[in-house]
Amino acid sequence: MTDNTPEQEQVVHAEVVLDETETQPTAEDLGLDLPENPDEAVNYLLVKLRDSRDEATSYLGDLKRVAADFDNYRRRAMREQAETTQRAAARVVEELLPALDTLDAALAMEPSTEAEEKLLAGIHRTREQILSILGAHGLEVVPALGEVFDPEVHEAVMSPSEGSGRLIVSEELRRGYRLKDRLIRAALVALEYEDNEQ
Amino acid sequence: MARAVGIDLGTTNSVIATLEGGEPTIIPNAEGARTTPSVVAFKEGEILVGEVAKRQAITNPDKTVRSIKRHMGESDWSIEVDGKSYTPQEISARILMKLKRDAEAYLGTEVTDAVITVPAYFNDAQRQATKEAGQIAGLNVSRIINEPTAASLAYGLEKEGDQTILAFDLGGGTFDVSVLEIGDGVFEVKATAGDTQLGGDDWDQVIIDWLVRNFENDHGVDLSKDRMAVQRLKEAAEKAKIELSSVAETEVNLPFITATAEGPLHLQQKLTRSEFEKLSSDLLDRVRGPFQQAIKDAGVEMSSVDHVVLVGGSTRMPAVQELVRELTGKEPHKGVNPDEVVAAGAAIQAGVLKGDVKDVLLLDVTPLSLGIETKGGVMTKMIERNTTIPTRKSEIFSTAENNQPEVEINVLQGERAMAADNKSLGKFRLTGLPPAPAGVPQIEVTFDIDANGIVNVSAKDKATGKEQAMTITGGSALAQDEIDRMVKDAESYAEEDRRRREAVETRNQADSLVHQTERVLEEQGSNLTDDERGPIDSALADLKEALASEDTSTDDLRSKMDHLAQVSQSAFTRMYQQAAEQAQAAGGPAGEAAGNDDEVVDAEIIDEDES
Repeated sequence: MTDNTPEQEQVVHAEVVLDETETQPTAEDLGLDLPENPDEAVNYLLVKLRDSRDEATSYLGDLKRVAADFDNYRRRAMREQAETTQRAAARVVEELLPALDTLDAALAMEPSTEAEEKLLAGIHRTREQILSILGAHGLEVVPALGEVFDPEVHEAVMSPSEGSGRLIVSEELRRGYRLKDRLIRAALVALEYEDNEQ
Repeated sequence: MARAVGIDLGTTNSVIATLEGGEPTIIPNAEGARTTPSVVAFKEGEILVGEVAKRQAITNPDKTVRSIKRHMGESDWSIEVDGKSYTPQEISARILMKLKRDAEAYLGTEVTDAVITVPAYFNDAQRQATKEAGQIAGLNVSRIINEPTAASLAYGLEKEGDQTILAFDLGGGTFDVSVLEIGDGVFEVKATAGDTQLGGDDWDQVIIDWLVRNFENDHGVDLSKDRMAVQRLKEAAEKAKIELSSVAETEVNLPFITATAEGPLHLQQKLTRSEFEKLSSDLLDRVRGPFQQAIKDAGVEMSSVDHVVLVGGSTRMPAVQELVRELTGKEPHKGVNPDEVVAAGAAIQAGVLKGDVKDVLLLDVTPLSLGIETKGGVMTKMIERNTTIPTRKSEIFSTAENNQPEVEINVLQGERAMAADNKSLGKFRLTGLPPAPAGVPQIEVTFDIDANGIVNVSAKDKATGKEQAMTITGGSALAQDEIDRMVKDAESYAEEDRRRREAVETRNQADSLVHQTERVLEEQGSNLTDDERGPIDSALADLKEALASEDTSTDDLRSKMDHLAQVSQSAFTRMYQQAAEQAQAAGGPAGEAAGNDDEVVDAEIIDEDES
């Protein structure tokens, strides 16, 4: 398919074409001060050859390194690109968490009248609604109360009283959340040894 | 390819960085965080490091180690866990191991060599212990350098000859001031001073105390007795402190902070920056003492300090920066993230030691965009400005008119939308194109810039293989201010350019549509009914008339285009469906749409020579 016809019509600047004929280079061409004596000349050239080869090996090494770095970087960039949208959403959700905490605090109130009860019920439903919408985006509450203490997702803020056995979450001071399997906030908890419960 | 990294092994937090393309880059840990708490814990036979260790610290105080850095170099310190004894080096090694492991996972390559930083006042034993910790972690510690030195490297200060540098490090829990001298590329610590119990946490506490006080005055309730309230107050205080670094006033809003018999109570309090600074003025005063001490011990005059660098997140507070300005009479360097500047500098040192940073690999960029002129007199960019060179880019173009015998390549340099507003570096033609409808030929245009900035542009007709090329050498070199002017011009004309380009593109699209429609009518017109043909013909005529006039507005063109598309849509769809059904019935392959343009990647049109 590449039928390169030699007609070069209206050439503005000549293109440098591949040299078909390999010409023998001279010492002058290569900028070398070649000794007259043939044996000396050979040694001289051998040294030059070695140096050139070393240099080439060094450059090839650099080239491979940069190529490898680039390859890794490219793969990582693709990976991160996929994560970017997720992280943007995660940021918004994280910023909303204090507002969710406020709702939790509101619901911790004890109603003293029927009107208050009704109001709190409404707030409860509002919170459920918000959690449901965010849930569709991957937000999950970290199970805390009654769970075995897991520092991967729970942060202890009080030292438990003496006891034995496993540590169990006895109080949740602040809710923890996961977003699509990544922990965005650990639950703040108080703990009790299971042999101390009750 | 094994990597060299720089590690800031801090008292409360550690950071790891590497060089990427010569730039220091912070490597996030497995949890996605850029800093890792310097906490190690032993729990049920497992060793926890980082945030997870921190979270269980209070339940496991005897087996959780915080601030191990304070014990490095102490030969008599050890912790015994489950019958085994650990030295400070072994504990620090655990932190380094996590950093190493997570970095390898993130980078996808092995991490072998590291430069680790230490405070300027660390003695031999402390430095040795730090180096050992690295070795235990499986790292080749190519060097231990001082934190203020690393910060100076991050700002490239060693490139400026002999200097005196003052490093101001205010982190989460400690404050350090150091005076350094650089001579012949060698850093020497002249003096250090500080306060090991002064940090960002203290500023948070000032706000918390103030909130508690105000609330008690307003509501008679002491919030400090309520665990949940205290927690919310802590977070809100830190958030407020951070906000006040960039705005003059913030509001702390904590509804339902607590409840009494009368019902819920809400905390809502405005805090101004000046109020905050008044409240924390004692803390700021504590900075002055060590500062004066360091200057005195170094035996230098304040006026002979050449540079001031800021380290540690708390130096973001405007009051701190103002104090530094006041004390030094200089504008401090703060461009690099103060939490990460030490790790960044360590990474630079690591790169130099490993031989990563070689002059021969420093690359250039093209200062201005390069491209060609396409239909309508617009410039189509092929290589964006600031692209690293050497580089190469190819794109497929096509012809604008039917049976166009040649294309002219006008090589342009600049940022404006219209070709005439840019600089032409040269023109050449590719001739001998076989007759073909507009938009059908595939002309591959390639821009190739070598490491020396020499530009080679070629055009090749894929059908015949005919090729023409042009080489542009230093004639395109421009002075920096000329480059800046061209970029600025492009910005100020951006809106106008955008409209002109849009106008041209719409016109081109309309032209395409006309060609396309005419072709279909020519080939398949007989299959249309008169009812269908009529509206199409008239819409087509309308559009052609609009195109013929230079004055037709873009909107007008667009609406006529849409009209033609609309009336031809249903007719053509019906026609193709019919053809497909017939073809299927005949058992042959589904009829192909006339004019198979699928292979043309970019159907932009090159004009014939403009005479």
